[in-house]
Parts: sequence; C-alpha cells; structure tokens
Amino acid sequence: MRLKIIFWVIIVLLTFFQASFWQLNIVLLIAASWGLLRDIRESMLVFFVCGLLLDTASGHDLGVWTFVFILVALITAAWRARFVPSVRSAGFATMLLFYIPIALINSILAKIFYNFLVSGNFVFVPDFKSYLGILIVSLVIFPLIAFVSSQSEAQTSSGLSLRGNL
Amino acid sequence: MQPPPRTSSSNSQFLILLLTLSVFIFILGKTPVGHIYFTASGWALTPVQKLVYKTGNRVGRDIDFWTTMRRLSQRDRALRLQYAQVVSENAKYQTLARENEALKSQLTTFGAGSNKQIETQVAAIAPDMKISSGSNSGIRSGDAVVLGNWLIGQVVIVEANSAVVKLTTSPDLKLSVATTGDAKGVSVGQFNASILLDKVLPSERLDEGDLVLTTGDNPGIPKGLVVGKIVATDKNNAEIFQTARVEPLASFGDLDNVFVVEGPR
Repeated sequence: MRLKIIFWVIIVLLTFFQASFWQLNIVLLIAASWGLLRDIRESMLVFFVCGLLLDTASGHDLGVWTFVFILVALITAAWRARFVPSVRSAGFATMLLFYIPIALINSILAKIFYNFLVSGNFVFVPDFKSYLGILIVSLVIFPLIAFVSSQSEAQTSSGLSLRGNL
Repeated sequence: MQPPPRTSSSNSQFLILLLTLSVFIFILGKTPVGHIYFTASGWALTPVQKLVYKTGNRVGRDIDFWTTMRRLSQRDRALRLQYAQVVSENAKYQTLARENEALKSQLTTFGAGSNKQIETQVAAIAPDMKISSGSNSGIRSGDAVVLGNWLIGQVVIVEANSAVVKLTTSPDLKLSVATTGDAKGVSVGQFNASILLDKVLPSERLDEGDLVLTTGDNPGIPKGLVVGKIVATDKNNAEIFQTARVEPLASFGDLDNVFVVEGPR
C-alpha cells in the first residue's frame, strides 16, 4: 500500500513537471509500463487517472489527455494480449524488449491523437531525437516500475507477480 | 508465476466504461463546465504547480551551472596545456636567443681572423667540466675553453663525442699569467673553488681588482684571456714570492654553452 502511495505521489509530481517543462511524455511511459506488468483493470485505471492528471496540470482542453490515454491504453491492451502472455515466462529482459516498441508506438500515437483532438489535423513529424530520449528513459523507467510492481504484488499477494522472472 | 489473465468480458465492460467516461469528460471540457473545472483546479493546484515549476527551474539552473562549470573546467585545462606549451616554446626561444647572443659576443671578441671556435654545451661541472663535443667536432687535447674572453679551462681528455676540461680552479691546471698591473706569475687552481696567483716577485705590484690574463706561454692557450680577478693579496717580506687569491669572473655552474678554441694543428 505504501509503495502504491509513493507511486502515485511520484506520478502526480511528474505530471506537474511534464506540464511545466518536459516535451517527453514520461507519464505515458510509466502508464505503459504499468499496463504491461499489472492487471488489465488496474492498468486501465492508471492510464485514465494519468490522463486526467495531465489534463488538470496542463490547465486547458479538459479531457483531451484523458481520451488520448484511454486510446493508447487500448493499443497497449491489444499489444499485451498479443505478445505478453507468451513472453512473460521468458523473463524481465524479454519483457523489456517488448516494452520498448510499445512505449515508442504509444508516444508517437499519443502525439498524433493529441494534435488531432486539439487542432483537428493529423500531423506526424518524425522526431528521432525524442525517440532516442524515449528509448533511454524507457530503459530506466521499466525496471523501476517492474520493481515497484513486484514489491507491491509481494505485499498484497494479489494479481500477477513478476518476481520469479525478475 | 501465473500468466496475466486475458481480457474477460468484465474487463471489456470496464474498458468501455472508461472510454465512455473519457469521451464524456472530453465533451464536458468543451462546455463552460471545463472552464469551471480549470478555475477550481487552478485555484487548488496553482500554488503546487508554482512550487514544482520553481523547483524545476532551480534544478535546471543548478544543472546548467554545473554543466557550465564543467565546460569551463575543461576549457581551463585546455588553456593550461596551451600555456605549458607556450612556456616551453618560449624557453626554447630564450635558449636560442642566449646561444645566439653568446655566438655574437664570441665573434665580436675574437674577430673573424682568429682561431676557429667550436661551440659546445656543458654536460657536467664537477669535479671537472664535461662538454658534449669531442674529437668528431675537431676538439683536441690542450685546446682552450672560453666564454667570450674568459678562460674557463683546458681540454685534457678527448672522446669521440665528449671531452673533459680542467677548470682554471683545478689544482692540475697551471698557467703562465700576468696581471693588468704587469705583474707576472703562475696561476694554480685551489680546491676547484678559487685560484692562487703565485710566483710573483716581491718587487711587482699586486692590487685587488686587477684582472689576471694569460700570457700565451702555455701551448693551446691564447694570450690575453681573462683567468679571473684578484680579490686578496698576500705580501710577506719573509717569502721569496708574493701571492694573491683570484676568483673566476663567474660561477662555472652557471654555464650552459662554452667555446673551444682550436689550438695550432
């Protein structure tokens, strides 16, 4: 429980930081990690709350980020349903390999959806520098979230556990 | 470890619920309710956001500061290296300038028609001077070693690329000399520190400050070279000869370059 509280405090802080400074959608990357590692209901809720927090912190266009995050959550769920059950038993490294593509896809699609919902145009401008940033940040975030997830599962003894694989 | 459960119908319902909710919020955001929401949340969250922004800015500035410091430190290190290079270059040019000056002075002193001189470097000084040129450069035993008009010593041993010089302060080197006051005598080195002017007749005048010059009677030593300066005289009527203590013009330890005067071949 304590870990979850810390997790949410960090999410809230990161949301504010993201709304103030960062171009990189770090909250989305965290939500995607959670989405791959945790129970589907919980991960959906995380996506939804993260989107709502980001909307609140951004201070304009209420519901845009919430809607975008839910769309991305659907894509993550589809990815998860297609690949994760078969790779989960392979261990942490394989999970990380399956996380990085979905993190990139989510970031790119989130940008496209957001631009569409705000301006009404589908705009896609490849930004390889930010993709590299996503890759690097993913390599840091995913192990952290995996650790929090496994600790949280160990505490509650409910839901799925990746401890054996980690 | 259990595999994650596949999306069940309850999960799908939950998904649809969240999707509907997000669409509802999105639509709500387009109405005045959105404005009210932001006004209320802004009132509650702006101080927090301000704090986060300030903290983030401060952290950003700190990172910027340390990055700048690191860059400056690297630049400083590069400049120090450049400075060291410049100093070493400068030292090289100063050495060249000194050598050039010494050569010029030597040419002025001896003139174009004089004996050939070979410039060489001092390799060691104690107990005898060692120079870094030898028979390959044309140096022979008995040649005088000078700096300007000052006699440093005489070459006694010659190797192919080095030679040993007996200094004027060496007890092994005896020279026929005369003072600037015309007193004749013999100079003998004293413990490699000073020179004794000996065999001067009592009738001759010795004054402190007189220069002691070679007479040219020693083979290989040209006439008129300065051996040193009288710093103390000793005239004892009971003795057959009077003596004087002579100091070299400068310390041999300060010498970098000297010249070997080729004697008659």
